[in-house]
Parts: sequence; C-alpha cells; structure tokens
Amino acid sequence: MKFRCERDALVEALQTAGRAVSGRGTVTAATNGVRIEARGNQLAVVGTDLDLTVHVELAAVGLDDGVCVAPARLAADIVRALEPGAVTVEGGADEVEISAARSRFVVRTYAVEEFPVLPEAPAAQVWLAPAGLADALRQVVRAASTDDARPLLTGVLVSAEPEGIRLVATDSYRLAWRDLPGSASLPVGSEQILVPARALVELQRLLASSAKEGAGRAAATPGHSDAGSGEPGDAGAERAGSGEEGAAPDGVTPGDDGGTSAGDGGGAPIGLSIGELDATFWVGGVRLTTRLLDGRFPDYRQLVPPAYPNSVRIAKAGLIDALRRVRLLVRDNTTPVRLTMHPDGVDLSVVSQEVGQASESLDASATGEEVTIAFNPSYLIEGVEAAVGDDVVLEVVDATKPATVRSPDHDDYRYLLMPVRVS
Amino acid sequence: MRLVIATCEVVYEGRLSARLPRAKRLLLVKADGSLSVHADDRAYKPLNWMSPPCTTEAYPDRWVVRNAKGETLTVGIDEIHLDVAHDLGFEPGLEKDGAEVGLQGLLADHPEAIEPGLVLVSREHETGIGPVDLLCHAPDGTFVAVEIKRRGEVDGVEQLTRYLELLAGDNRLRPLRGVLAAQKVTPQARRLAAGRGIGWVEVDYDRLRGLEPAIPTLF
Repeated sequence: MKFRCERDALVEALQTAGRAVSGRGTVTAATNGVRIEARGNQLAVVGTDLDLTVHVELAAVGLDDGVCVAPARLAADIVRALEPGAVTVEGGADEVEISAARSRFVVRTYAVEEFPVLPEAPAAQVWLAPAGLADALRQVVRAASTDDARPLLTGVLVSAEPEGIRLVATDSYRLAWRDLPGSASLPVGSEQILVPARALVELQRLLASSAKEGAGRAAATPGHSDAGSGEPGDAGAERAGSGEEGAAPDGVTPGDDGGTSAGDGGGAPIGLSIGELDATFWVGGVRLTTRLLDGRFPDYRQLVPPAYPNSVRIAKAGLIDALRRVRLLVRDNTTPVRLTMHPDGVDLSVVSQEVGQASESLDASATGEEVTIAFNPSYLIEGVEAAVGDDVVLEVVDATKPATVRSPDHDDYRYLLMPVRVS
Repeated sequence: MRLVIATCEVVYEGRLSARLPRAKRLLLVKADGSLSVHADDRAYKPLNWMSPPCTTEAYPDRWVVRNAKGETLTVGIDEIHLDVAHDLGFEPGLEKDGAEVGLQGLLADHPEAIEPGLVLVSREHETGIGPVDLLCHAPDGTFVAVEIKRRGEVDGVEQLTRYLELLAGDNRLRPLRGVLAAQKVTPQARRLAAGRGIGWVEVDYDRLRGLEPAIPTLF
C-alpha cells in the first residue's frame, strides 16, 4: 500500500476515525488500531471499538493499492507533527512508513486480519437537514446520562412523531426533547431507536466540522467516488431512498454537497440508515455506525405536568450570567440555587453552609403566585442555554414537581427539570 | 465519654497562637484523653482540639491539655452548665454499606430484583471450590446461580464460570444458568458474560434498601 495525501486532510481523517478507537485494554489491532486502505485514488480510514465505528473516505494520490492497520493515536500524532504539505504513507507487512519533507517515521503495524471485520453499511434510508439536526443534538444530548450503571439513559431516543423526528434524552434529573418539524420520518419498523449519546457527540463534531469546511471535502464525497455503495449520492442509495420514508425532504438533494439546503441551513443532507442492531449516519465523506441500545426508554410524556399555574419570562443571557455568578459558591452537586418568582421578577440565591451565600435579583415578567423553587444550578444553566431566542420561559407547578424551560416563541424544544427539595 | 457544656475561653499555644473568646460551648473529653471544643454548628468539626496522646491538668477555673510536643490547649472555665460522663463500652467500628455481604442479604430477600419471578433456593450454595452467593429457581424451571459483586468485573465472570462448570455435574440442578449481579458491571465483564451465555444485572443498592435517592429524580 502506498499513497500520497495532504497532511491536513490525512490528520483529520486519522483523528476522526481514531475517536472511535477505545485505546483501552490489551493492545490489539481492534483496541488500538486504525485501518487504512488505499484503492485507486481513494483512501478509507476506519476506527472502531465495535460499539462505534467511524469510516472516513478521502481523496489521495494512490500509488499502490493495499491495507494496513496502524496504531491510531501514534499515526495521528506523527502526521499532525509533520511539515505542512504532502505526506507519503507506505505500508508493508509489519510496518508503515510515514514521510514528508525530510521527516521519516517507520512504525510497527498490527496484523490486518486481527482488525474486526465490519459489516457493509446498508443504503441510507432517511435524509436529514444538517443545521436542524446539529441544533437538536446541541439541545438534547447534554441531558443524557453519563452513568454506565443506567445504560438506557446513556442513549438518546430518536422517534418518529406525526410532525417529524423527535429527540429525547434524560439522566433522570432532567429531560430534554426537541422536535424536528418537517423532517423525514424514520423507516417503518424503526420508529423508535435508542442511539448512544457518545455516538451523537461524535456526530455533533462531524456536523460542526462539516459546516466549517463547507464543500471542502467535495473530492471525497461518496457521491463522487467509486467506493462502497448505498451512500449519499450513490445511485443505489437514491434508489433505496425511493418511497415515502426514504425520500429526501424538500430542498434536499442527496449527495449534492454543493450547499443545497434543507430549508434551515446550509450543507449536504445527513444520511441515516437503521438496522436491527445499529444505525449509520453519513456526514460528507464520513460514515458513523453505532450499535443501538436495546431497552425501553422511560415514558417521558407522563412526566410533563398538564398545566403550569406559574411562569416567568426572563432575558436568557441575564439569567445565565446571574446563575453562573451565584454558582460560584456551589462546591458540590447537592447545593441548589433557589429561585423565588414574584410579580416583579426572580430572586436567585445560593446558600452554602461551608462557603457562604450569594443572591441576585432579575427583572422578569411573571404570572401566577409567588413561588420558591430550587434547582441544581448547572442543570438549569444547561437547559436555559439550549433554548433558542433572547428570552426564556420557566414554568412551574410548585416546589416539588418538574418545571419546564422553553423558548417563548418555539414549541419544538422543552427541558424538564426536577427541583431539589429544600427546607 | 465526658460531655461538658460550659461558658469558657480557649487558648491554643503551639505552632501558632489561637484564641476562642468567651462563649458557651460543648467540651468533649474522650477516654483516649483527647479534648475537643465544639460550637453549635460545623457538624462534626470542632473549633479546636488536642489529639491523643495528651495529658490534662484540671484546676477549678481551667483545664490545661498538653501533648508530647508541648502544645497546650487551655480552657478557662467561667461556668459549667452540664457535666455528664458515660461509659460507651466497646466500639464495633464502622460497617461500610454497599459491601457484598449486605448486597447478598438484600438480594436474598428480594431475588425478583435480579429477575422477575426468581425464587431463592439457598444462600451460599456450596460448589466444591467455594460457595456461589445465591441459588435461585426461575419461573421457567431453570436453576440460576447468582454471583454477587459490588462491582462486576471480569474476575467475577471467571469465578461464576468455574462455579457453573462444577454445578453442571449436579443432576438435580438442571437446567442451570448463571447471572452476575452487581451495582455496576463493567463493559468488559458484560462482553465476557455474554460470550459465555452468562447473564448480568445491575442492581440499585439504595432502592433495595428502600432509600429515596439523595437528589429527587423525574422517575
């Protein structure tokens, strides 16, 4: 195997694929390696920990077809450290040579046959607008649990609703959901899937990176390549996309990476296919496959109180700044911030037995009775940050029932937050 | 244990000098000779103290507590409001919650927390190389050997595998399967267990004990 590639493109591919590599446990091709395959002028870089697989396609000058499995982190570190410009990579049976300008590295490789054999990704079934999806992920993924003891809650529920796709995540203390009105529906038989939040964090990264690059990866977009099948832009994928649930949403042209928008922002559409055990997302030249979580997500709808007698509309930035200030006295995650909602506004206070106390008053428009309620300040900040617009609405039943944070003008995002009991 | 509530002034002299002005305080004199001075706040933390070994010289108007380094804590006593002593006897020490033995007892009482319908057959069921924590009977007629760990790791799966191999020789326990139960099961242990046909379950210790979570949750 031998190819030549621009340093920046190669280092990004190695880093992107390498994020799926666990790097833990016994050092093997599966746990520490990234598979690099040159075929013609196309390069495929793949990293996996079997739960998450990232497959990056990029253009290169192919000199000799072949495959090697290189140590993921080391290869990325080496390429990143090279002088800008062309990098030549030549893989042999036991080692790979990476060279650029006057630098030359020879690194031992893993046996190719020890790298896991990964299934071929199926054709994309659904196309999603990247900007809407990026926003939704930003708003929802943060509410997923990071506690492996409750594995179901480490996932984000992606469900088909009449109005479009809905994303829901909860760590049991708070719950965020976001609707993507007008988005394509999920395939029949996969109306509800539970996607690990870790995979969606990587998807967020890819979307952010893709948005920055714009059409910079045009040469590597599968629609213009001969590698694989069933990817965005691939004729097979478009055929597979026929039918209601597979049709691209209005304004979206699968495989068109020239900036055709889905109506809410720029960028090529995001492909999604859902299998029995896993789901695959396509972002530009990157394919991200994640194992799905198996289990019943909590019935979140019953958690939403039918009505809120008390609410306050408040400037979002001012509230976040004030919460961050009073949070300075919080030394553990059990010290809450108290909010007293009254007709003239909201009073915030934190009382920390060990440290001291802080208080601040904010102007706001409140309805209902005066009520004092306490929250984990970090959770409240995250919910307020995720709301769209200049103002945010906090809706409260009483000091013990879940409160809601939402945007006053957008109904598609809700953040349910459990209050902390205080004496 | 002697408890004295007194209006007092306390002066420490050693690496530095520190003084507690006159106020009403609790003085704890323990059997080990230590003295600690408490106010009615700060939870368990004393305002000042002298750790053992130390000696106390008691005068009508003051106590002088001195340690081997020559540091002194002098308590000037204005008025004593309470002075009681009680022999607390032997201290058995702290039993840490969450230990496997506690978890085993709770799961023995609530085997349904491992799997719905599970019924306990015996605790500490002998296998020949050591006892498996619980032997249960499932509604489908299978016997279930349950190994309980606070943290379920690969070692726990290995241990249960050995038990199952030995228990498989007992005709009375057929069909038989195994479950690793722990407060947390590592991903490696999950995979190893799945590869060997062994089940695993994570159990909520607080919920088993009937405790509310420290921070309220949505569900």
